[in-house]
Amino acid sequence: MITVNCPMKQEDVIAALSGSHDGIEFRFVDKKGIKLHFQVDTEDLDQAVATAKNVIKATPFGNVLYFQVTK
Amino acid sequence: MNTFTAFMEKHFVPFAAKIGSQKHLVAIRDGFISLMPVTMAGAFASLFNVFVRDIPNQIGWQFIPESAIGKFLISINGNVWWGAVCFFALGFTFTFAYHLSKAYDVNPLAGGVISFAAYLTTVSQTFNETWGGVGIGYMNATALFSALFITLLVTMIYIKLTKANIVIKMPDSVPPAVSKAFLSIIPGSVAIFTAAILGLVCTQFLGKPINDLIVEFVQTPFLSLAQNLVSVIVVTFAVQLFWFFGLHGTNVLGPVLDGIYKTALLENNTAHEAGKTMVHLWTRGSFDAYAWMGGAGCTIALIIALLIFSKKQDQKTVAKLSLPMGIFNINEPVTFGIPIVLNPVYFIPYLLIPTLLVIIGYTVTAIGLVPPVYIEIPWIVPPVLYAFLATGGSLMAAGVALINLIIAVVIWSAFVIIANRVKEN
Repeated sequence: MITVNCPMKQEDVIAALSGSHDGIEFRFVDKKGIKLHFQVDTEDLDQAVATAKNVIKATPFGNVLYFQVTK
Repeated sequence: MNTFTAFMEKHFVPFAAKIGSQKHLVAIRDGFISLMPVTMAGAFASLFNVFVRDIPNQIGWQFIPESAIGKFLISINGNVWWGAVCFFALGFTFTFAYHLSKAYDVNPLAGGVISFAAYLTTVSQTFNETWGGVGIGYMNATALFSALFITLLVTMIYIKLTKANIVIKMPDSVPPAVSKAFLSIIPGSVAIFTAAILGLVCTQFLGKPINDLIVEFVQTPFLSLAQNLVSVIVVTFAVQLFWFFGLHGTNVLGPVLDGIYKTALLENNTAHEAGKTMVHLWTRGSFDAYAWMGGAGCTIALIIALLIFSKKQDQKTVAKLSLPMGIFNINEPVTFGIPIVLNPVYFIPYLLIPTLLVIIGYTVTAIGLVPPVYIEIPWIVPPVLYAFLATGGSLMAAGVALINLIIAVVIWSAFVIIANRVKEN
């Protein structure tokens, strides 16, 4: 499981991240405040975190969004 | 708070996203970032000379700078500074054009060299009545705005003509490097001739080189306006507001922070090395030296306050885990761990503490108690030490930073105590 801490554009982040990226499947689980939890189908959580960051940064708002991805 | 957050997300985030992704502004920001290895080398050279020359001279230890090894080190540092800082604007013509060309999907290397040459066509070829000499004022931070405007003009000409296919196309059998170069000949030549014509028109009809006109009518007024305390407060407040609502404050306002306040820092650095008076009170490093200690919001002070006063075990744990990184001004663990973002309890201190701290830092600089910040220091350098190094070894600046830190701890503590009484939602 990885967590995306993201106060703004939560729905857009969920939409952008849900699905397969770099061979890792991200499935949105639930939201608690600013925390978005995603289940991933890999044990390499460091890779999942790095991939999630790149996916979010590649969005139109990624450059201006303040967010954190943790395992 | 939820209504306000929804309003911010609907109206402000798209606006901030547009600014943050605007091609030209991003290219300006990336142009500055690309030059960081060079400016840092120059900054290290300035810093080494602080310890080998400036401080020994101040405390009467002239034997250090006057020794053979001292002279050698000072000369080396001086040469590094000359190569790294004195030609900043010239380097920027390349990096800005490179990133802008890349953003438009045209050959960035060609864009960079064309802009470099085009800028030089506008520079006076005579210095001290001798042909072939170039005044350093056309190369260093003083020339930054003219470098920016001329680069913007010529690079857009290059981009538009390339995109319009007004190019020389070579057969497929020609090697790619040659083919790419030929593609850029017409757009590049038009861009360079345009700059040369513009430069000549300004000199012949307006009586001054275009660079001097931009310095006089654009750069100087802009920098002066930015030096006003109100401007500094507005920038600080805006950055904090962005961070609080989950936007990357320094990215969104990057063109202002780097384009204006970094220029001020480099101009101060040049003035100091030339033995002249530094004219800018507030520079890019001043924010980090006096206000953004531990990260935006002066969060190292919050961590200290949490460790002392928090009665919430989870927040104390976050503070303990955030402390090692907080010392090096990395504050994601605490801003997202508490969290501070969108937390109404911490809204007031998060915005007002840095604002108060810049007022203190600005005031002590304005009255001459501390020298202005003039050395670019890596942002991960711990608080207080940052202020010491950035002001060329001023113990008074370090003292002001320490006092600011204490003030921030006191204010944060009041809100940590309030937070103790807030029930978990």
